[in-house]
Amino acid sequence: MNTDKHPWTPSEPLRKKLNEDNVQTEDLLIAVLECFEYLLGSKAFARPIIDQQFRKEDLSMQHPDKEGLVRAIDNLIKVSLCFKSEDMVRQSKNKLLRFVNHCKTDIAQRTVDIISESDIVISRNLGLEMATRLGFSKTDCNKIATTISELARNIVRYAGSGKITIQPLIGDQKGIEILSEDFGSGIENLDEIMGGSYQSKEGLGMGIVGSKRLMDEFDIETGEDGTRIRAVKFLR
Amino acid sequence: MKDRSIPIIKLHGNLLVSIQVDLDDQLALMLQDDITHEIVKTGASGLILDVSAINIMDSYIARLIDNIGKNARIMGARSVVVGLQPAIAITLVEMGMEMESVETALNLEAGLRLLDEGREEEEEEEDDIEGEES
Repeated sequence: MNTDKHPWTPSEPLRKKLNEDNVQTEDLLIAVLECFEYLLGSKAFARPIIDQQFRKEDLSMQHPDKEGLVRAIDNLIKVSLCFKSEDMVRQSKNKLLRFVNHCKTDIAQRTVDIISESDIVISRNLGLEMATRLGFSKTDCNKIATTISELARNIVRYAGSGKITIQPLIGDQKGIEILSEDFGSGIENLDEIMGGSYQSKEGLGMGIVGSKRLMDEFDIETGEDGTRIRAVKFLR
Repeated sequence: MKDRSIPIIKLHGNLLVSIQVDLDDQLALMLQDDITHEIVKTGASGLILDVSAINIMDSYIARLIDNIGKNARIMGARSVVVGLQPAIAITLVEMGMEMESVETALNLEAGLRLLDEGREEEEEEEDDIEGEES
């Protein structure tokens, strides 16, 4: 086969997955790998170049982000033009971008490890950015970021360390989901806190009850081996 | 280490603090200390906290600002928070967070006016008392 003439075509198992209604982000990333391995000639040569571009856009299997992915593809296309004819590269690119457009997960989840106080600011800014991109009003963006701030602060104060995961909800009801997880010793007096009768000097009670008021859904699971809080705000 | 302290400016009888950075906990505690000391040092009777650049205020920071107001009051100074963003105001109210030890004004100008008016009233009261005594 003369590889200089034929544009890239996805391998058989991938093609099946890519034909489904909603392309999964993992499959999309595999498609990108396949396409540029083909365009750049060999796996050994292509991988470091692709890795470099992905790192630049902070992309990984866990944190795929569509806008970043498109930028990475654009850059990789420029590299490919040094090796293959313009026509063939362009056709390959169009095929790849069609798959990107079929992928409905626009902004994928982000996880922030919460270890120190500065992570509070990092996590809430990330939430603010994602909420803004999802189209929340300024007030709701503020409520979402404030909730993340409260949850992250509780992790730092009471559990020592944990993580916060923020992800868009893409079902019938669109929105944003915040997941706070720690492996501390749990919240002992949860009922008192949620009933509003307890308030610590540092304001834990206020923070957690207040966040619940700001969100549409707020579930707490707590035990000796840690606490998990799930908070959801729907897009109105 | 870079000096991260927030400047405290004295203007007539007031202290002016404009918070232009993302307040983390350490910086917020440092600010609380600095302001309390500065009130004693300058003998200021009014404190204005400009928070217009703060985009997120959680319960901890709100409480800390309230505590700054409490400290200031004990040192004999009135505190006014100015420039609170509408989204933050809505969020704080919805959370049930109250800042009882500080007054609020829409902007710096209104804040200064509030403090000036307070001072004039005090002076009038003092005059009245003196008048009665003599």
